[in-house]
Amino acid sequence: MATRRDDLELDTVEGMWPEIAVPTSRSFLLENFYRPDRTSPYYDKDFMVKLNGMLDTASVEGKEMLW
Amino acid sequence: MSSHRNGSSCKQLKSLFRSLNIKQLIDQPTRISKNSTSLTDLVAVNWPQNVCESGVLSVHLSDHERVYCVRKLNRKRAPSQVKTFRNYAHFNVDAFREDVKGVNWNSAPGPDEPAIVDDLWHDFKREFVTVADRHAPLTQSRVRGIDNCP
Repeated sequence: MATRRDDLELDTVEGMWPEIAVPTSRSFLLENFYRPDRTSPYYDKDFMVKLNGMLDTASVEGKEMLW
Repeated sequence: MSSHRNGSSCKQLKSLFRSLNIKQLIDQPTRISKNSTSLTDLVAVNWPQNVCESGVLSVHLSDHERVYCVRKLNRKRAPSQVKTFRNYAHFNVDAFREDVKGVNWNSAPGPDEPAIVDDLWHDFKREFVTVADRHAPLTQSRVRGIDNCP
């Protein structure tokens, strides 16, 4: 079963964090995101800072992450 | 993420991976054009031991190849081990000392016979272990296996 963790998402970062629940095992976070190319109108020069912040927030939970 | 291996975005990303102990699994190009190949699609994990396979699949109708990874769901338990311990549950240190004192340690040969150090050691060990076995007998117990998976 997957639960979308929108509390970990940022509006300005194209991506989502489903949390996958596994029977008899700990759940894990499956992050998907896309960084628009420099030529894109959606390019964000602060992308890396935001990504860093998101991963920091998520890693505090101590869960396994795949992204 | 970056088509330039030494670009600033790439360096930042590598630094981020290091700081969070994250391993990037893809090592083949995912965007192949006439004149260049670049690795722009990544799979990164912080528990690589749970991923048994990863790679790049060719997708002919896209300008990007598809990256994938296979995450193990059924955790294999390491088989249990049988270990030998000494049981100190009824160990009485005073009684043990008394018994050790009572052992005849003078098994060294007389002055005419050569002393062989190995024999002396084996005699000592046999006597000591006999007393130790009486006071803290050896017992076997099944313990949880150690997961040595990388």
